[in-house]
Amino acid sequence: MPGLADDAFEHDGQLTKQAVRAATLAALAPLPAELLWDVGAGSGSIAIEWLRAGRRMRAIAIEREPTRAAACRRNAARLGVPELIVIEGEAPAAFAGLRAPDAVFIGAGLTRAELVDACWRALKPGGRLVANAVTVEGEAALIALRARLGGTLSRLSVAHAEPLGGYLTWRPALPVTQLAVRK
Amino acid sequence: MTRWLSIVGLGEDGLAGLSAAARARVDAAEVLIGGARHLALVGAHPAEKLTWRTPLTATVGDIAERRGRRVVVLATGDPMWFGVGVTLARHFAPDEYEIFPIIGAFTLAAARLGWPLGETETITLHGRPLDSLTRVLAPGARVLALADSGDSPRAVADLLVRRGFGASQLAVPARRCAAAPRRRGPPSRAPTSTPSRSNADAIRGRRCRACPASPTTPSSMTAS
Repeated sequence: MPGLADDAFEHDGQLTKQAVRAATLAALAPLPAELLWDVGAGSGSIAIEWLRAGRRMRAIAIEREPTRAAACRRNAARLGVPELIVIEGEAPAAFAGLRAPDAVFIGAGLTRAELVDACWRALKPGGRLVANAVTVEGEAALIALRARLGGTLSRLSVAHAEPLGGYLTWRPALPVTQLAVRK
Repeated sequence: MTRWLSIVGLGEDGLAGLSAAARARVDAAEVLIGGARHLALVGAHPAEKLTWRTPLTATVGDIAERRGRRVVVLATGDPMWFGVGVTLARHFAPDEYEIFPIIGAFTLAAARLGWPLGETETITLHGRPLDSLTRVLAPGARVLALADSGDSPRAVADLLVRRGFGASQLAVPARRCAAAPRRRGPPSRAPTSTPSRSNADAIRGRRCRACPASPTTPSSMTAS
């Protein structure tokens, strides 16, 4: 089941947090032996949870930052999915030669239209594209994308109770806007 | 096309353990393909004999060149359970080959340990990163892992300790142990980064059952 604790991953803050990660995996809807591209993979958490969702899953993480790409590899090994393919490079150029995915997750780079278009083109018919945005600009890109491609636009808000004086208060995490669309 | 390619699973007892049908295929073979140990189990035989090449696709090519002759591949146990049958079935059409499995390593190990196979994870570490074992680790999990070499038990024990599963018990039935396992010392030595002394001690548990694994022979390995 997806939704590993956040501290299961080595990360630099660029991590899809547990509750949103679990919801994202639900939207990606993994089926046995399917291939995921995790574009702007960061710590690789989405690709890693995808691989852990079944025995014969396949995933490619695309990450341009060398230190993050290295963290992806270490996270994959430590969490038992060393088969994760990590491609250190800039999307969409880094897509060249990759097998067409059954699902694509875009965690970064939404404001670059050519990146999103390349993901959509690469996706197999019937495949799922899921994109998360935390910035206003990213959200605007998703709203425009929904107008073009359809799909379900969701807003995920999670708050955790934390101490305030002698009491507890709700500390909201940044809300995440998510588009999930089937090709 | 007639089924010219036979993939025959062998156990430690060699030809004696084969079904009559599988035995007939071996006897009638024009080409025998297998590891040196399996070819030796067959003994004197007039067939052309080929050993595995690296990469395996080279041997697939050898087989394809002999298409239509009576080719017998000598495999281990159940060839379709992480065995060579998996690769060959990808390269040849279903009406070209016949597969003759015998009881495989997992079934034998489960029988020896008294483990229900339906509730046991079965994985192979043969030619795969050891880290893939981490996936199936969970409290109380039963894992049967087909090992790569005689070094695997130590590497597995080190990984278990590193991942916080140092209290796991390991059993190492070598060569699918036709005979009763012999006891010997611990299969592992605690790495210097051992999280705690008790974990390391636990992994050397007295209930650890092990018999020597030959470096050339895949063995099954278990942890729970």
